[in-house]
Amino acid sequence: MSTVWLIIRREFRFRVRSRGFLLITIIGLLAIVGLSFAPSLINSAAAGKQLKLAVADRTGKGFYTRLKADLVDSLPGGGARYLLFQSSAPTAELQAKVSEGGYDGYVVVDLASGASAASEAYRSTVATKSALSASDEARLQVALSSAAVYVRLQDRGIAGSDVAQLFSPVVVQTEVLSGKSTGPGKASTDSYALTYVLVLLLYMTVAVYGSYVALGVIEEKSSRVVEILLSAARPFQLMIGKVLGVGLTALVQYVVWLAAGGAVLVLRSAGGAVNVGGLNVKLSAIDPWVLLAFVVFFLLGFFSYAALFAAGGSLVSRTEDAQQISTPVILPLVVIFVVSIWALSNPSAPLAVVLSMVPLASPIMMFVRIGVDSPPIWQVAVAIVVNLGTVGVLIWMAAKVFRAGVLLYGRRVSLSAAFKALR
Amino acid sequence: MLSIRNVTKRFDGIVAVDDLSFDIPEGCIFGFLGPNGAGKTTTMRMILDIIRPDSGTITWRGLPVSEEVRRRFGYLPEERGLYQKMKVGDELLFFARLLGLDSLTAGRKVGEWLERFGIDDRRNSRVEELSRGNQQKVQVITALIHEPELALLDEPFTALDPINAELLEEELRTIRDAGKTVVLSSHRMEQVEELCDNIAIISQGRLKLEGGVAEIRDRAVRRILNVRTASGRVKGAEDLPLVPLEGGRDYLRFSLRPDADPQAVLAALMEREQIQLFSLERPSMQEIFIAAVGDEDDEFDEAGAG
Repeated sequence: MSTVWLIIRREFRFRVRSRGFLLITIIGLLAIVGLSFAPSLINSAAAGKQLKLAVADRTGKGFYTRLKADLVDSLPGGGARYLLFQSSAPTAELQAKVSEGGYDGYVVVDLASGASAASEAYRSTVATKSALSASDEARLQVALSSAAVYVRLQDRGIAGSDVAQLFSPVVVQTEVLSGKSTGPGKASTDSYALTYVLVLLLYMTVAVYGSYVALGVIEEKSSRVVEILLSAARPFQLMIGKVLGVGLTALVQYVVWLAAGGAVLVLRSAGGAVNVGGLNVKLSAIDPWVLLAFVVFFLLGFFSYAALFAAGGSLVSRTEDAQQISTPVILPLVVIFVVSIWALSNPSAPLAVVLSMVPLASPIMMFVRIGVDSPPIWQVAVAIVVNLGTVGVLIWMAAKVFRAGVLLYGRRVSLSAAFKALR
Repeated sequence: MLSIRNVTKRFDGIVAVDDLSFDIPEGCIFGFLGPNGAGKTTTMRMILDIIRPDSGTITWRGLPVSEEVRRRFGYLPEERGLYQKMKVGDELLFFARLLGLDSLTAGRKVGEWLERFGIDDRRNSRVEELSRGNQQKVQVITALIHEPELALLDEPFTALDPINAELLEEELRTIRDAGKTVVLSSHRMEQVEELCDNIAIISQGRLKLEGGVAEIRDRAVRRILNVRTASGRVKGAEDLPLVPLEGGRDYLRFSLRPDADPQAVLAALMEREQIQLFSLERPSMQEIFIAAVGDEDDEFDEAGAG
């Protein structure tokens, strides 16, 4: 078995068996399950409740009939969401009924104060025992507004059936036009949500697993294991083995998370939309190419940053000094992450396009563009080539620094000494 | 044979190893000695190609130390190097595999060695849970498990109790008798004297002395004089170039002054006393060591006899 493989295996086994890995994996699983169930649990707590509303139409224009015809929504578990009762009781009496529990609330429609019937200015009061959910409030507002328009149209003598036709809704579907001539476009809000979640994951895992590489190198240095390792392996093998071993650990964690996430989506959706952290994710919106791009750009990004972390780690001797070297590596990563969030809404902006092909920024930026936009295939190709080149150069440079730095103890190795090693 | 030729290594302009040349013959236990900071560890690291000399060459059986050659070396670093959080068994298996053993052999050897050092019950303990002495045993095993042609052991006896030190000495002799070569550094000169066949002493990166232990002790200038006289004393000893020393039992011990000629001293003594014993003592390794690393001009004097 080759030396590199032995080092990868040790690294992988050690990390996968560690309590930290187990903990992070479990927290991640809980987060995935929690994110996908919690909003719907909150919603269903509210959504499960039927609203009994008294409707008092003081205008005599047929608001009750219109609302009754419009508010026919049903609850997820079946049954009508809104139960409307016509009432002509005075407001004070309605209030009393609500506090007694006869109704959950009441809706009073009247002319705006001081307005004449001819002005067609209506005013409505919606009062409920407990606060309305945002969706109920929005729903009632829409129903009342459209009822008012209906009433005004009727007043102008437009026949009832025509009005119904006028109010038939337009089916709106949002799509992003694909650069490819065939294939479906991407539903924009869905892909935005999914890409947002994946970019966050991409950024966090590159940062966390990159730091693991640095910490691992420092640990081997401070415990002097590196001397034994170097008597049996070349510095390059040591470094690449560590980077690959940690990368493999990250991939396994992804597989666990994605499998769990996928299972949850399938269980919950049955083809429909699933609410993930308040954002709708449609199963059909998960493009396998986006997931492939995620893995490819994670690997490219991870290797680029891991090389920097490995080189940095070789320059300090104690775990306490890890901060000194991880900060300058993490900082650009944070900046790129922030820019990438902006780019989610502006994927075709020149800055986003350029950054998606710039070393170190490219892995995250190009993934954002692939997730929410359809960048030309040549740009994706350029990004991959640039990234492969970056990974090659960084690993080569890191191996040089690593070789020089790894046996220097005590003093903090200056950057100039590190650069000297590059020659 | 390991050949070190004109090897020089500087760190930030400070010379750690200065034009060093010597050979380590195969099939012997070789004591690589020198005071702290003499360049022993640096030299060992250069032999293993962990760091490269600024100039000079190091060859094993006439060839540079390649990766393939290096895997036939074993190394015990001066400062302990083990993954603290790994289990003893896993750690040893990893290093055994890394050093080229196949899975089966590695497993068997790990068992054998753990048993030999009496720590087979600690196989599933994490290294950090072991005492310093037991960690040292694990470290020794990582250096010897693959039966290296050349074992480089930097201070292997540190933290070992006398029983385990004896055990290790026995192991090293066995390895030597099997035709392998052991290079070790130590500060315990009685042990070196007893264990090593050959030595090299370096100081400030330069070679001070090298050769077979017996030969060096024979060759060394004898400056300790043991005398027994019929009267039990030496009349007028203060006129002779002698400094009295402690330590004689039924005889008197003197150190010869640097310019004294033992033949002349013997003649003078024979005039004064009836001589029953006159012997020039071979200096101990301790004395040879101190003489070798001391300044050239205060070679081997009274201080050396202490």
